[in-house]
Amino acid sequence: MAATINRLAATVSRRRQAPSRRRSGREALLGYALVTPIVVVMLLVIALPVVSAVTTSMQDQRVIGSPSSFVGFATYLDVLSDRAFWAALGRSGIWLIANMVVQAVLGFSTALLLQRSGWWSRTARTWVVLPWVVPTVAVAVMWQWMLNTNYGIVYKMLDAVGIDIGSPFGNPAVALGAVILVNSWHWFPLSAVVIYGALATVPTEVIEAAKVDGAGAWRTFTSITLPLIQPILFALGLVGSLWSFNILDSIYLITAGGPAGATTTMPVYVYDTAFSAFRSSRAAAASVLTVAVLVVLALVFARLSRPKEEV
Amino acid sequence: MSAMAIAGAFALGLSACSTPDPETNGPDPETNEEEPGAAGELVIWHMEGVPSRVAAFNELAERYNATGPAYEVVFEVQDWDQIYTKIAAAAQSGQQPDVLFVIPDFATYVRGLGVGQPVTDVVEALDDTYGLLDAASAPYLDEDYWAVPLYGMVQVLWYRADLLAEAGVEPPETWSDLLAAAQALTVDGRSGIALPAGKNLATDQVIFSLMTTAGAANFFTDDGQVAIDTPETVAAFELYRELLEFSPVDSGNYAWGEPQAAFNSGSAAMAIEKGQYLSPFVAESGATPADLGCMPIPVKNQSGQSGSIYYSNGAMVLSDDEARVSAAGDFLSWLLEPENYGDFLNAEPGLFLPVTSGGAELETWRSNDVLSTYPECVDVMLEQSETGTLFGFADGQYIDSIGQISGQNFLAQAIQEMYVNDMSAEDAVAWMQAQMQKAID
Amino acid sequence: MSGPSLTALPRTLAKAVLTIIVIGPLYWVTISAFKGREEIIRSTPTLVPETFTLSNFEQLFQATDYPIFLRNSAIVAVGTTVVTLLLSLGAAYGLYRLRVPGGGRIAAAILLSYLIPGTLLIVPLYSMLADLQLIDTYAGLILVNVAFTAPFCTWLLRGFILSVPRDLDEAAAIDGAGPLRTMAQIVLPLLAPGIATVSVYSFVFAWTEFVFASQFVVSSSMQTLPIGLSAIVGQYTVNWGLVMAGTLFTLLPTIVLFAFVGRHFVGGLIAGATK
Repeated sequence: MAATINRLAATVSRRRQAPSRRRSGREALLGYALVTPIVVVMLLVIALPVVSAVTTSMQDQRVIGSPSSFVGFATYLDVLSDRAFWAALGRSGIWLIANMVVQAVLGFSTALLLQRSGWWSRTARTWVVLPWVVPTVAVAVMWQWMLNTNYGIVYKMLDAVGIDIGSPFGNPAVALGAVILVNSWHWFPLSAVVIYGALATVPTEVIEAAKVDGAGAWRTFTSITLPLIQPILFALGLVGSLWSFNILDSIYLITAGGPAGATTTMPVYVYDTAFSAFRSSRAAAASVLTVAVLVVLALVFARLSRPKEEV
Repeated sequence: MSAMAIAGAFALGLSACSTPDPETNGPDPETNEEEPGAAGELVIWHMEGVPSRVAAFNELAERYNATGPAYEVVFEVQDWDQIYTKIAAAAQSGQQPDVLFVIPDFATYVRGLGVGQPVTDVVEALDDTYGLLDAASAPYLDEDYWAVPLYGMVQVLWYRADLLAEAGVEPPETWSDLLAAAQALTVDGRSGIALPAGKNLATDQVIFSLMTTAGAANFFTDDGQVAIDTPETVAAFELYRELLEFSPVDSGNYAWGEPQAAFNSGSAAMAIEKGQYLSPFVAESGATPADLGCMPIPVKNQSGQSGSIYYSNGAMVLSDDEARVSAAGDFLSWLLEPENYGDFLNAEPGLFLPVTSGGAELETWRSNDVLSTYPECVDVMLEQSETGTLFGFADGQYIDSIGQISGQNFLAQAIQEMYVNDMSAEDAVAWMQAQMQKAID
Repeated sequence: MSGPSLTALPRTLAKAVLTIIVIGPLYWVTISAFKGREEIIRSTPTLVPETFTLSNFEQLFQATDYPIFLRNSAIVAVGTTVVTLLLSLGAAYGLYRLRVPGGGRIAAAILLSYLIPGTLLIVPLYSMLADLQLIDTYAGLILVNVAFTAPFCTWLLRGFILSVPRDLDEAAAIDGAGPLRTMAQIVLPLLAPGIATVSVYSFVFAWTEFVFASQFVVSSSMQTLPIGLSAIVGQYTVNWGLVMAGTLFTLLPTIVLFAFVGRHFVGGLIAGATK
């Protein structure tokens, strides 16, 4: 039986390796034509403003757009010597990992459950995306309202069974965790939808064949399914983490970075520096530094978990 | 599932059919111009996004436009959270609106962007005709007047008269009264007072109101340096810390909505806020109007003085086209005319107070349902306005770096350090002094 | 079914937990929208509305421009979805199927957008859009949304594209089909789950996007639902029932969409692709 599994797994991996082909000129032309639109959009919307932001980081600009002068790396030194910058970076690390873990667990379980037949799975496919669709401002209002000690349903229900959750958003020790949970509630359907789509690409014959050969459900999952959907999981993991790192509104709308800075992650720090303290150069420098950190992390992530095949 | 979808589609269909009458809800989208101040139009940005206020403003715009002015008025609603960036971006691209509603510290920021026209002639004319409250016009005076005051807001102490009567507590007049009352009113399932302690402007406002009654409203030196670390400020913070013990456990995340909901549901017996408490009280509390009481902000026991936070809301003119500036002046003066001013103020009855000295008796304003239900409270607010002030503009000063301080909510942050990190009031105020000074350096 | 079969109990538990954490809050929001102002903030919350009222909805439709917000959100969301699909399908095909030279570097560069904190882009982006006369237009919002959805969708589609066997391309080439026809008639139809996923992602992204929409929209007639909702939350005072009603009606269109479109479009296409 082991031989059969290995044979099946080998077929799968062979399938994923592309034989080399002579690229026709027509193909290359079509390829470039297809890629151009997205590159243009990216240049316009991202690249140009980024250049502007980097220029700003080398100046001493205060209110955005106000006159400023070139100061080289002085602003960077300023930011690097700010303890709040490092604290924010640390919190962002916690934010990143915790969100990833919680959403991966929720997303995977949901996707697996959605795949089944049965009335729950059928109806769930419609409503399980709802937390994601609620605008973040409503998510923030909703959860603060439900956890309020005076009239919040969640607080009152837990209180009725003797659990006093106190003030999740007002207690510095647990505020970050509480916001992470609310944020995960809001975003886990995205992971669920993507994983569900990925699971749908696994052909049923392969699974059936494995079952016929006596492979247990877990073995099938780890040797057949996971490798097949790895490219999609990789994309989701990488982009999902980057996106999660930069989340601002979920935090700002609930605690504004409080209490006493307990939920001030890097995006909150940058936003406050730019728009509350009106130090746009410092904010730009902090962002550039953050990008550098993220690039390193992304490279590490890619190196470790990149699916083994040619690009 | 299909049944639900059909029900949903039906509901949506209904909503589409009940499109609000374009007459009462703003300009016809088809004729809306993209560029601010297209020919014959005066674009005004305001941040009063609550639907009743939007409707009231638009209704006034229509009334004005019906008089056939050279420039018709168009209101566009913006969000407070976005407006700082938006106006900066707009100013940079030359796309700023013709008129912008402001509050004093926001106005210093906008001036710093390089837009804003002096409106001294308009303000002086209005002062001559109606008499403008000092608290309303002073914050906009920096050699010239930079905004036309339109409406004011002031904080007072609100209390549940029914709950106080039950507990046999007199409405407090001093700090010690307040503390004692808060304690006496805190019983199982109810807090004596609901105070905000979140990192937001609501917290800034309440602590500042208490600071004014200790004489700590002016925390700048004559040359614009921060001088907030004073015994009076520490005393105010100490009071706030003690009061928070009688405030709900999750006050550390409160802004405006939560204290009001606690107050109206009877979970809290007192609150310090502006006039927005009048309008929804009966509907939300299920109580009678007589159960809503109000007092001036309790004053410090020794060497205390009457005071409160006072927000003068005004309009800045940003267009540099002479004709438009003049048109703007015309519209703003028209708003303050007795026939129109009452309706303008009643966009949010109780919250918007008149800036004119005759406004207190304005028939069109006071005849409003809400205001005529609570005439005493309206009088309390009007009286409190006379000693109202705002940080950065106290005692006739004009600190143009105040925006950098108010934006970061340092007062609120210091409260949080005390409340959740157990810092002492002295340390918190010292910390705040350092932060504020750093911010304007 | 390609996942491990858990035994019945953990599965039922998982279903129960998911149902409670998703449906629970949404049920609460829904019934609160029907509650009167007094009941909504009562210290002892009621699980079934006592004062069943439609006044919050009346206010929503009469005092706010809800139908306009809905229209704007729908246009921007659909536009974003269509443009994202076109751009990302094209880019993913070009990069991963046709494997153009230098594609690896382009692919990596595309991802760079997610490294940049959005807040920094606001002001430079505003000037650029103003120069292009795209402030306060659907096109401007769609452009910005697409810049944030297309890269992720391109990378997503990479995985889906790689799962379509190359032998099909070769067979088509032998049959004389050019690269365009191969793409359109052979490969694309098999990308159905990928297309469905990308569509859902871009639609929801555009539907809920707030930061850029609120910055780049100036007139009330161009506001989208999240902006309208945020205005309802208001400053200095909160009408909780109205907020709940507004939230409900931000959700309702998507429920309708997923109920109809989801079952037939997504489910059907996914079933078709796994044959």
